Amino acid sequence: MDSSELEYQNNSSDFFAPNEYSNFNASTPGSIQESEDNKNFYANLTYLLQEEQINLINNEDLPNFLVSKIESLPKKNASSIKSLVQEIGINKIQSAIYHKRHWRLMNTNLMKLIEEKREFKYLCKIPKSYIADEFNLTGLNQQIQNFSTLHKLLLGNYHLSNFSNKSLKKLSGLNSSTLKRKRINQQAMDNDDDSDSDSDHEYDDAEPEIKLYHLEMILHRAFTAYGAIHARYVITKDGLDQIAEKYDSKTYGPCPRYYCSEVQLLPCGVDDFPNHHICKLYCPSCLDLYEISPNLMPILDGSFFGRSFIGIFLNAFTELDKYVAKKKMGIISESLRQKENVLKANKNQFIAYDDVMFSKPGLKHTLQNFQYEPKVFGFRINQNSEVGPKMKWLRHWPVSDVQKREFELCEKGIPDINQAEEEIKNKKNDDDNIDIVEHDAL
Amino acid sequence: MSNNVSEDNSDMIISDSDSNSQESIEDLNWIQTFLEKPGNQIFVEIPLQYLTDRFNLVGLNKYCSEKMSTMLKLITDDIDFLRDEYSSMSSIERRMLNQECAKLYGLIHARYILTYQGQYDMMTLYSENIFGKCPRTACTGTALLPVGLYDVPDQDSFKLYCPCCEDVYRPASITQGMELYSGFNGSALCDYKRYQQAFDYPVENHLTLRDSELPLGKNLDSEGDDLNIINQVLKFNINIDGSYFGTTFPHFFLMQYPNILSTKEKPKERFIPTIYNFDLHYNSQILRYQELKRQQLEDKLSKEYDPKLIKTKSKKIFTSKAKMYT
Repeated sequence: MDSSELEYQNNSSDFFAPNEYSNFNASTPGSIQESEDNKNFYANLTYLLQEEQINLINNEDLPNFLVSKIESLPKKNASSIKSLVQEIGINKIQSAIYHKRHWRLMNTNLMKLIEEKREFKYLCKIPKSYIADEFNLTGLNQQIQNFSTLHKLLLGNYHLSNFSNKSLKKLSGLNSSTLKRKRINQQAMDNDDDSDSDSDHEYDDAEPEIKLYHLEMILHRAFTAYGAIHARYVITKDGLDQIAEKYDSKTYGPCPRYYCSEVQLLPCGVDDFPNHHICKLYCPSCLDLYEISPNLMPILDGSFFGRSFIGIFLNAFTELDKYVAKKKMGIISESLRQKENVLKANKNQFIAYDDVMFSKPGLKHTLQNFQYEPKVFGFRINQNSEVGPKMKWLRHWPVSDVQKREFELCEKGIPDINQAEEEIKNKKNDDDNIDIVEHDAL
Repeated sequence: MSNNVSEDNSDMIISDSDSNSQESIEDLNWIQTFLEKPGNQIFVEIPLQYLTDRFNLVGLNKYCSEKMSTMLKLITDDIDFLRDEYSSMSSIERRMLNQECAKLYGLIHARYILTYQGQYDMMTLYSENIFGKCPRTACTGTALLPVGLYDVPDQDSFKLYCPCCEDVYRPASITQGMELYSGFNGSALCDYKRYQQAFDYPVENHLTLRDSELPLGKNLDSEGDDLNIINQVLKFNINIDGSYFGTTFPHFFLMQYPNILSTKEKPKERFIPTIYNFDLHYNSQILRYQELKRQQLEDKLSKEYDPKLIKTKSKKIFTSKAKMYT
């Protein structure tokens, strides 16, 4: 980051979003040199305190002396924080934060730490009895390494401080074996000696150091284990109820499509295996999948919900269809009202030609399939042109009688186009005959 | 560009004023300050030639409460006006005038965009992905274009049009520039970054690889602190009016630059919700019906296809593989 950007950030109070933020990769607390990384750290801290984002950090992770000093400041200005940081020194703050986090990870319940994660807002809270019941966990042993110990940690029987360093390193999955192999290979490539066995012995004898990233990795693995249990819990009745509550409170955000009129989305996994797909969002009104914008929602793994969750949810809560239909009609009436207002203000006002305004006899037909129409200077574009509309089928619903017949034909598969046309024609003739017969009877 | 132009113009317009007096007055470049405001990056700079031409401003009088001449004086940084009238105004009056000026600038903007030069300027913004990318998964991140649903101001805010799925999205739920996603961190150990890179290859490999690749004196420990939280992805200003872009802009733009459409085929893959690998009945039936509609359209277009009219139409419209997420 340039120094000019820094100044700009400090000076302007309205400023809320600089273009880019390089990641903060400061060196270890022991060996800090004055570099751009330190500047980054400094900028981050000032930004945080300006915007009062401290709530996002767990206050317990900040060292006590810093928190007390910040609270004693008259205003959380950049200048005052500047002086404060200069007083204390960046090295001291960094090392303090590092040690505090380390201590905290070692000595608190892992379940608590998982609940403090930002992603947890979007997940169900699984009761302890469900996790404790081993009937629910069959097969997870094969999916996840060291599942039994992680399971114990989730239940809160043990803290991380109860384990030895060696077992912690094993738990983190960051064994030196892969690293070691690489080094050995490199050495073998360099000089063709038989020094492999010696290096192995040396490494095993040494006491392993536990660093922060080992502990964070354990937390991450515990989180994935929680997600694997979560994928099973969500399908149960309690889990569905919890998600339905979240749906009502709009935690997953609205549909980005304009004509869905802010119908809430549902979380949806595309794959059952972890680390394959990010969790997607399903819109029940346009039946489409959308990406998560991490601006609104942190990243979740798709396997935390699984593939079959969405289908079970839609089957369990059939009231959703009515809600979606109501929302759809709402935006149509709104847009109609707006156009009427424009006409009322100026009768000679030039308005883009629209189906909804002028085709009143076929209103029902147009209302159901209400979608955006591209127009150039108020005129619709021909389908044959390159720019013309070719994706109207995406949001097309069967409304008229012919369309409903076509919809019935699609029950078991997609019929041929010609076949469908013929069948519809035949049926039409039959219907006409039936109508005549009825009239005769009357 | 802006500074030089404004000074030159002021020299031309006001022949009486000396060069010394110009420096004493604060050089207020209205257009530059307007464009630099957060959220206004989606606008294009209109050249003064276009602004001052009265032919381009026909009919905009009725939407503005202030006098057209005074507003134009402010926008073009007329020094006489700034010295005499503008300095004598109260702060409230100034604010009102500035708001009206922003409105006028937007309305002229909608017209300027449709000219050749304006479309070229918008192309530069478009290539930088300033209007965001489509949130629909099947579109795989095609860049969006700004649209208004009405050509009259004060009706509705601007929307974003996807040329791939031909639909309109609300700017509130779309972030400005997807490339920035890699640039911000979550809570402990850069959650987001880790996840994103994890989906390319497993997390553990990633960490070990990085540990070996790191230069001396650096460790992954430093990523452990929670001060890395900066969720700075640019947001759109939702209050920007739709009429500042107009209803015709994106389609006209696509006519001007047809390469945008021709390089990208339209996807036909849909998502079918399932329960233990069995499709939901009603949903899958509707998707099949929509697929039939698509086939009918393709059939119709192929029958009406006339190679004399359009040369480049021989390409396929939709992607050939009917891949579904199952």
